[in-house]
Amino acid sequence: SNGQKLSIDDIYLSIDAKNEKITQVLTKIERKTPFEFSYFGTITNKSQRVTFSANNLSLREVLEQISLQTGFGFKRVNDNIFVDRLDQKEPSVDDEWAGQEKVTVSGIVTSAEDQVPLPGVSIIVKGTSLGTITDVNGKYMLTVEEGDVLKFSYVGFQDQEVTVADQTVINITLETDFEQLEEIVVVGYGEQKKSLVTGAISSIKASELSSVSNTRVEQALQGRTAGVSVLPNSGSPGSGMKVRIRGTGSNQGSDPLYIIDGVRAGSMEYLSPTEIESIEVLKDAASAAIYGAEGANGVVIITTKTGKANDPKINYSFQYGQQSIGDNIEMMNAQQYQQYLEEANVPIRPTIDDVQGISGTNWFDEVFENAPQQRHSLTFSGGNDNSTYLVSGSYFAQEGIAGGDKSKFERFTVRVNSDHKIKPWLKIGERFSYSHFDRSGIAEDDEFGSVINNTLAFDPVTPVAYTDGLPAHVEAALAAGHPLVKNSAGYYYGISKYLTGEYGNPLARLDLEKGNTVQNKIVGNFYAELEPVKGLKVTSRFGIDASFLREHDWTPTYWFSSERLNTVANGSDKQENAFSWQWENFVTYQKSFQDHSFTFLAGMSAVKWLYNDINGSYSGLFKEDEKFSYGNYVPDDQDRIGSYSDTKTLSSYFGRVSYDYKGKYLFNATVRRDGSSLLSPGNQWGTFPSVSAGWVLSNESFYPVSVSNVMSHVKLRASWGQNGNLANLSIGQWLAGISTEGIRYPNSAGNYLVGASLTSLSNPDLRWETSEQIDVGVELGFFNDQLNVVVDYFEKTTKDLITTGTAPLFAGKELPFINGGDVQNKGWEFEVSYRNSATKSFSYEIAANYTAIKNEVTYLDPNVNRITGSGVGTGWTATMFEEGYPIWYFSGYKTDGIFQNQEEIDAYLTSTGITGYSPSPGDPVVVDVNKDQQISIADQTYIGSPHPDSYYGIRANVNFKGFDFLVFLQGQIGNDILMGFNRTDRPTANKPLFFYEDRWTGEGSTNSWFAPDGENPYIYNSDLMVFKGSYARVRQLQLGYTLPSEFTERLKLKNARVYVTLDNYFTFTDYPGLDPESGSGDNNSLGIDRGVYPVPRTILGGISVTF
Amino acid sequence: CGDSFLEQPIPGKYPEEDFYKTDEDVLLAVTNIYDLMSAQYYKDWNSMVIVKMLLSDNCNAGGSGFGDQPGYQALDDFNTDAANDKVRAAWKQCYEAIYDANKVVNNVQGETALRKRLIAEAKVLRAFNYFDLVVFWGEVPLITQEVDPADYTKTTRAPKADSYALIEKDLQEAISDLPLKSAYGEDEKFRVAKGTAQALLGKVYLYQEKWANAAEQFEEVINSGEYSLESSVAEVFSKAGEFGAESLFELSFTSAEAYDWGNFPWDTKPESNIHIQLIGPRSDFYVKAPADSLIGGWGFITPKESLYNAYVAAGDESRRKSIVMSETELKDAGGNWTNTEAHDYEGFFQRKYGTFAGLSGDPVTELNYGTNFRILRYADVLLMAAEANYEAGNEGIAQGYLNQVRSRPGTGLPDVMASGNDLFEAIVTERQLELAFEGVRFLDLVRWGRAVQELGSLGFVAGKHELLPIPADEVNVAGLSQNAGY
Repeated sequence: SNGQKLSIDDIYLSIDAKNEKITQVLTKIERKTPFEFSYFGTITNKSQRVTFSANNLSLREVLEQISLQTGFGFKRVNDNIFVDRLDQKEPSVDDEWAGQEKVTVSGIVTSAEDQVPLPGVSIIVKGTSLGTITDVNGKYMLTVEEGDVLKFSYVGFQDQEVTVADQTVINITLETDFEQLEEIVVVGYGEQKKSLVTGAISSIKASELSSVSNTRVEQALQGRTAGVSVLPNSGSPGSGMKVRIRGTGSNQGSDPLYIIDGVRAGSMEYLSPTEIESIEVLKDAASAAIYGAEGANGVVIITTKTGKANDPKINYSFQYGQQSIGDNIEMMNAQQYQQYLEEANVPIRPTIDDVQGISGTNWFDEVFENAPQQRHSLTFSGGNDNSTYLVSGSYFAQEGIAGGDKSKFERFTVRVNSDHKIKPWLKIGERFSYSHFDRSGIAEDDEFGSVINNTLAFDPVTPVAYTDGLPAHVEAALAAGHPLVKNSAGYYYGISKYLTGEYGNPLARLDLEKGNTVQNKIVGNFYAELEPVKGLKVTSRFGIDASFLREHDWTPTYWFSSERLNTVANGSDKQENAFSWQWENFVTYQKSFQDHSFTFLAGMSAVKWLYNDINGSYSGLFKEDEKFSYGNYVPDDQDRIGSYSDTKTLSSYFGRVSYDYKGKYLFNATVRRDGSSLLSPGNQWGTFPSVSAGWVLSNESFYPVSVSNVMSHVKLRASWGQNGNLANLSIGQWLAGISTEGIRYPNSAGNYLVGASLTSLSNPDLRWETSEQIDVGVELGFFNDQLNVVVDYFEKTTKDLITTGTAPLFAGKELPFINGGDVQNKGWEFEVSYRNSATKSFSYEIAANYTAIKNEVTYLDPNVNRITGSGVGTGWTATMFEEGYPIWYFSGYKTDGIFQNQEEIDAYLTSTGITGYSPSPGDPVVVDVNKDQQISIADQTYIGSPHPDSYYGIRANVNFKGFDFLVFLQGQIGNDILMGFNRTDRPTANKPLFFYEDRWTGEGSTNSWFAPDGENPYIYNSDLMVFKGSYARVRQLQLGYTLPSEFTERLKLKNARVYVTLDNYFTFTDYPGLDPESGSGDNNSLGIDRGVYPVPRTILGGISVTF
Repeated sequence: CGDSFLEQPIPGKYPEEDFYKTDEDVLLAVTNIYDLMSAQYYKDWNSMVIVKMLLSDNCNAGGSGFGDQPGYQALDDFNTDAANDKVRAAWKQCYEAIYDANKVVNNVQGETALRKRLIAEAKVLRAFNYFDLVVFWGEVPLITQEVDPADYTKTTRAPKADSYALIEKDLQEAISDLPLKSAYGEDEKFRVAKGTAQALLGKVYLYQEKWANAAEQFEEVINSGEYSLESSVAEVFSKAGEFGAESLFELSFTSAEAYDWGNFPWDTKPESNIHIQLIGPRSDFYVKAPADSLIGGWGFITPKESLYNAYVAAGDESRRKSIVMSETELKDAGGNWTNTEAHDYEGFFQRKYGTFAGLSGDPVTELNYGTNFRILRYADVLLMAAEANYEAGNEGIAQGYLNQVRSRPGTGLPDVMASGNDLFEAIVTERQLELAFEGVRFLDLVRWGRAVQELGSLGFVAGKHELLPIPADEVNVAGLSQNAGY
């Protein structure tokens, strides 16, 4: 429509009045014009009557008539016409337009993210109550005056203001508001305005997850928020993650509690990142305390997507990528290998003739390949004001860069989420998901012969396969009847002449990998929410988590050496059923009076976990084929069966009070009481309180405007709280009982007798492990909150740590668990983000987070001393848990340079008085740490920590004319990695190239690396194997393009985006091993690189289309 | 949800207070003690039997190199410290067996003949373990009851005399309640018999130099007629020799488990004797002779040349052949050894606990050796009886017992007619040659005061290495005092 300048001269109307009250007449005029009449108090006689007839007269002419008859004066100011008693003879009608002319503007409001029209966007003229909302097509029309400021606002989007000039069409694109979306933060059992939050909570929104290539949700958390560290157990498809919130708090399980749509989750692999609306990480104790038990390691709350009323949508997204190995570790080639072994005087080694003219096999090139991954996701959502729904499905498939389909992960998910308002006081709904995955993994993270370890260790002289005749040692093995493995072309795989033991040709090993794991899982919950009285809500929620997991594996016959062989084809199966239900009922009541707002929460929860498994193994497969790899098809005499079943329960009561005064003074207190069946009667219950408070300084009346122009938001907050943890425990571990498990003794006729014994010492006093944390934080917003800074300091102390007890050995049995120590994690967290004004066509955002953390075991029960951790190779305990040190620090020999000549050795032995130790030049100088004048195991000491001093993430987004570009970098600083894949008892194993290049070659050659050596424990069990593990990894480098709306409209699309991304493509590290993220599934093995599947780098293309 | 919701059954655990009530219960409990003592490999390499071998001058540690099982290497080199994992495991295993023996002794009243016998078995096993503790660590905590956690740091090391008193009392009580070996059925020969207790008691007296008491106990065994010498040492250590005429106590293993590389229980306790594989000639370098069944192993416990020479010096050819084989013999028989520089290798192979293919089972020979460890056998009893009588002044009797061992058909050595110190030296030599690799040599040298003389060149320091260090945990946690020099 056209804009018009509205003046009383331009509005024509027809109106008749016959002795009518003036007020009635003016009301008629109001109906026919955009004006309202206002009466000044001085008018005493509103009942005056007028008579006139107007036919298409201007408003001015009509008013002049009335003025003449009544003596009233009219003065029009903007939309109002003021009526005054003037007692004048002349008509008085003023039109004070002053250039403020009426304009009718219209337009369409769309979302910047996907160009979808937004219905229900509120538009108000700033400074007035005038306004409208957009219709279902996102369209609006509003009559305003030039110079008015229109404010467009919509939940989840940034407000936008536009000053009306002479334009008549104002189309608005609203930017998704990451900040404003956080205005509402999901907390335990409810939501809270972000401005009122007093704890340390970080949020991650769907938009950040929509185009990630990650298989698992935990992976997507990596680097996105301060205080959260994520380390993959491995880079293999579908492998688990170690998520640590504010450090490692316990010596065993330190995983956070995952709450998915309000229900405790057993595991995370069933969720596709595309299903997620938001993730909240409750970091401080006060936030987590509402979850009491199990909240000690932090809480991750995941909310899945739901439909939106009056917004029917179909979204399809697709992603396809190729993965490849990143920076390959360089190993010695055949020549170097031969020379190294010769110099090390390793008894079994190739001769120079053996390697003449060959560089040998590069096993990494042979084992690793490019591998595809793809993801499809289809979502239908919508609804009306009473019901909303979302139905989605996804498919994900990833093959491994080592072994292709031998290490794959394939997953289907189906989700149905809906909410229904049945009555004004009753809402019900459900979140329901089914998933299916099929995972195959290859052996890794094991120095005793895993595939990856073999790839590192296998000698370069041996060929992949013999295409041209067999060497004598292979002929001999065949002659002895050994089942040598052939490749698909029918050639025998290479058998090493030099490296035997547990090792085998890695490609042949891959061929022999047959295992897979299949899981079917149903997770869901149903809820009903009653609101009998305004402000009072009663919620009841019942959730289930049922997973059915099947592992199947079989092993053909093979022979690599006398210690790596299988003479009888065998198989194994395991069926694992885990079912849990959780029922929660809670009441919230919100009440505000004057400037005080209260929210009360009280509730109860009960959880029951039921678990059972059955497993079996059998051998003597009739044929070496998948079809015969089941227990029914073998003779029965070699079958074994195992089974197990248990039940555990948790019962809880909780309450919370939240209070704020004018949004300035904030206060929260929670208490939770949990009872667990894992503890002995009398110790089952624990109480976990918390308090927190905040002060929004910028809301104070005295907060100077001059300051708020720059620093627009200031909030100070502090919290204290306690949480419980029983993650280290399983059923009945406090109780010793008589068991016959594994106790058999062959009698003198060769038949087994069964024995029985107490399983352990008893500890009925075992009680809850408690994590106590204080947190002090400040939140600052600058320049209208374009720049945001959050700083937190925290001290988290795990008390009464549940740890493996070490009763004195003379007590005769192990004390499995005691409350034995304290672990402290303290540190700083910084989150900074900046975005430019969103109205500009060029927009960008930069966000960074940084966490500095120190981990220390601050107390250990005198009865515990120190706890020995993980072994590496033969006879070396490489990690320890000890007071005054970080959790599971590396323990080994400490070295101090390299002996350059015999005189140095003699001088060293003389000056220290060390006996029984006879190093050679080129050996490391080993420090007699305990000064007992011998070099022995007791000299092993702290040589490094697997924990980083700090970690960080940096993310930058740029949007310009439909193009978007993202860089996401993540890294950590100050951790050590123990290179644990070299074994002292296997000196012929190949070594990384730098072992050769940096080697000591004679006096003065180097004082930092040793002479060729494959077996010296003073080298391989020492700090020489500890390397700096800091890295920075470009997690994502993404370029996207959103098709222009003119184009998408023609295709009847709401939105379409295409993108390409490089994931994990660039890594910066000094670690000379395969991958600085070399993780481990074992808690006490953190940072030990035994040959771990590296995190692949991926190049991906994707498309997302919304209809 | 009340507390009943939190009462969930604990699977697989039977209450202790309801146990030890029936014959069946007590049988199970006592079987467990035997099983614990046979747990020579328990999640790790930690055998008391191997520790005893390593301390002697019979052998070196061996293995792939000195980085292979550093704990064993250190024991061999007298470079042991309190952090040594093998020493810790050996100590721990003794106390674990004692714990379960205590449970039987304290909880069972002997209401039936069977239970009376089982208590006696438990007492002998407790005595066995305390004896190992006393001879290897000296003063040790004397635990006869469940230790209250409050006493973890208050318990101290008891005088040796107290330990010996308990050992002697246990054995004396057991002797009266135990049957003769012949009274046990064939399937029960693994159990300690009256003779076992008597022989052990004799040994306990011998170590305390109570010569007459020792001789008395040994003679009870000898005169019981329950035991006799096999025709040769090879026969003793053959499959047929297990629980045979010469056996007083063995740890029982089986080759029936059919372990393969996929299912071998590396993380628990195998029922086969994996140590046999450990101490076979290192297969990297060993090529077996065609007609010989001694196959490759992992190369630990390599015989010292001095041991071979001792047989040569004694003209003890036939017995030596069943205990030590030389590289020359191997090559002469058509076998080979390819690495003269192998770690700790002096040119000899051990055959007493040999990796004979026939002693193992299918499907993987390496993992299924069923060879029992011989803990106490009749030849040892005869030689101890000879020594006790010699010391008690009965030289003639001593000669008789000594010569019984020497005149065994498979040994066929001339009788010793010497007297005085020569007779003693003959006993010393006989013990070295007959009992090599059986874990007695080191203890003999120590009690004879000859350890420095024989072991000094290997690193033995007088005043220190007579005893093993108290494990670091016990010192740091429980506050036990450490042995001198550690």
